[in-house]
Formats: sequence, C-alpha cells, structure tokens
Amino acid sequence: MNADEQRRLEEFARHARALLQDSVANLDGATRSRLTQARHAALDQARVAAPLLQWRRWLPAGAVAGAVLAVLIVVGQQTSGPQLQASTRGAGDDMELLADTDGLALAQESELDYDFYEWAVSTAQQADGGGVGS
Amino acid sequence: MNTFAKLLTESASFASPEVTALQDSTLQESRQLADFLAATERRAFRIAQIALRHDQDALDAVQDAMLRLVRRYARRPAAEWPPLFYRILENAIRDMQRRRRTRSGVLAWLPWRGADDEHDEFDPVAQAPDPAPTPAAQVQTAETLQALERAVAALPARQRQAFLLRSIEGMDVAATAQAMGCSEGSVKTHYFRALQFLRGQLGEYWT
Repeated sequence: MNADEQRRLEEFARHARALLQDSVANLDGATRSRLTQARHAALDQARVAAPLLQWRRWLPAGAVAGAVLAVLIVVGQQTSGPQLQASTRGAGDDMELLADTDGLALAQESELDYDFYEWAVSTAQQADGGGVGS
Repeated sequence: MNTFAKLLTESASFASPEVTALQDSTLQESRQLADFLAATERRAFRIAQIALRHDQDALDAVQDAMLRLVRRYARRPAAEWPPLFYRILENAIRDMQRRRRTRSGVLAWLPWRGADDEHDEFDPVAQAPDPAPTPAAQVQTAETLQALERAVAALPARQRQAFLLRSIEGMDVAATAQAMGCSEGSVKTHYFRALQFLRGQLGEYWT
C-alpha cells in the first residue's frame, strides 16, 4: 500500500471515529435512562451478592477451625476414654443399688426377728476369730 | 429488650475494626464499579446497537454484560474490567445473533410468519418527533452514520469487534488485543481489513 492510500485510510478512520463518538455523545434521553436503570439493576445484584462474598472470605478460616476442632474432639476422646468408662461403670453400679428394692423391703418388714440376726452375726464373728487363731 | 440492644451494640463495636474495613473495601469496590459502568455504558450500547441493529437487543446485551461483570469479576482489579467487560459483551452479542439466526430459521418454516411481535409494542418515546431542528448538514451526517453502521454490521465478527473497540471505545492495539483475546498482530490485521472494506462501501458518502 502506497503512502497516499495509507493517508486516505487514516483520514477515513479519523472521520469514522469522530462520527461514531458523536453518536455516543448524542444518545437520546430514553436510551440513557434505560442504560442507567440497567446499571442500577446490575449494581443491586452486587449489593445482594456482597454479604455472600464476605461470608466466602471466611470460608477457608472456618474450614481450618472446623478441622482443628474435629481433631481436638477425636484426640480428647482417645485420651479420656478409660476414665469415661470407669465413671460410666460407677454410675451403673449406683443405679443398680438404687433400683434394688430387696434391702428396703427387708428393712420395712415389721415382724423381723432382730435377736436371731444378732445371734447369727455374733456366731459368725466368733467362728471367724477362731478360724484365725487356730 | 434494652439489654439485647446493648449486647448488639457491644458486639458490633467489638467486631468493628475488621468488619468496618471489609465494608469500606466493599463499598469502595462497588463505587469504582459503578463509575466504570457509568463511564462505559453508552459506548457499550452503541457497539451492541451497531452489531445487532436492534435497540432492545442492544440494551439487553449491555445489561447482561453488566450483570455478568458484577457477579463474576467485581473483585478483580479495576484495570481488568474493560477487557473483561467487552469480552462478555461480545459473547452476549454473538449469542443474540445466533439465537436470532435460529429463530428466523425456525420461523421461515411457519405458515403464519410475518407478524414480528418484537416490533408490535408501541414505544411513544421512540416514536416522538425529535424536537431539535434537522438542517441539511445534520441529515447528511445522519445518513452517513446510518450507512457506516450498516457497513460495520456487515463486517465479519472479528473485524467488526476490532473496528468498534478502536473507534468507539478508543482502545489502543494492546487493549483491543486483550479484549479480543488475540495477538496485537491479529488486531492490526482485522482493523486494517475492516477499514479497507468500510471505505470501499462508503465511498459515496465520504466526499
């Protein structure tokens, strides 16, 4: 392409650009208004999405905290396992005693022969003492 | 209730440094985005309007591009918005052109075609006479502009995109290449071919 052709093409481009940019500046009011509405609608979407984005910012930190918590719970269960079992067993014995109504029924019987029981106990103690001494 | 309100206030003041900083940054980003869209929307509309030759479709394409930019790329650096926005807009334009081709292809088979429902709605603003006087020079300019728009719409998509981004948006070769997702050499080629074609088409209007 020769220099003259190049110059004409550049002149054409300048003219076209000026024409198009004038047309942008002279957009009618109705179109400008509708563009403004479209912009506001898009930005409203951003405002709605903003809290979600803020929440998402904390997601990695939350995930790490959750993982640490899970590890702590698992490790805690492993170290305190036997104590928990012992205390659980103790609680089971207590419940068994509380649920046992035989002793209470025995004590409540009015016609118990207390002399017989005292004699039986003393006899047993004597027998134990003799056993040890012999 | 007062105790609850007091607790709320206390918790708000406790979290205030980080939360306020976050809110400030979000607000600033939102403002920057609003400024960018306000500065770009008219040129974007003209680019879409010339490509689609339809006002409502052009508005829809621009709104679609705005929404997508806000939803997906609001947190990107502001310098990245122009190429991203124009790439999204070009995709929206091509989607509409594709849909239009499909629709007209389907409608061509229908016996009752001919009633174009898109043009049925009466828009009083669009139909109202322009209050400004229209001297001969303005008429000639308007005719030249219309001829230019028709010729631009007839360009291949890449040439049209390069020509409009450079002419209306005023992008340089590097920014145009970024927006088009191609090399600067390709932009120069597309732009040069577009100019040659348009000048050949508009010779009679350009004297």
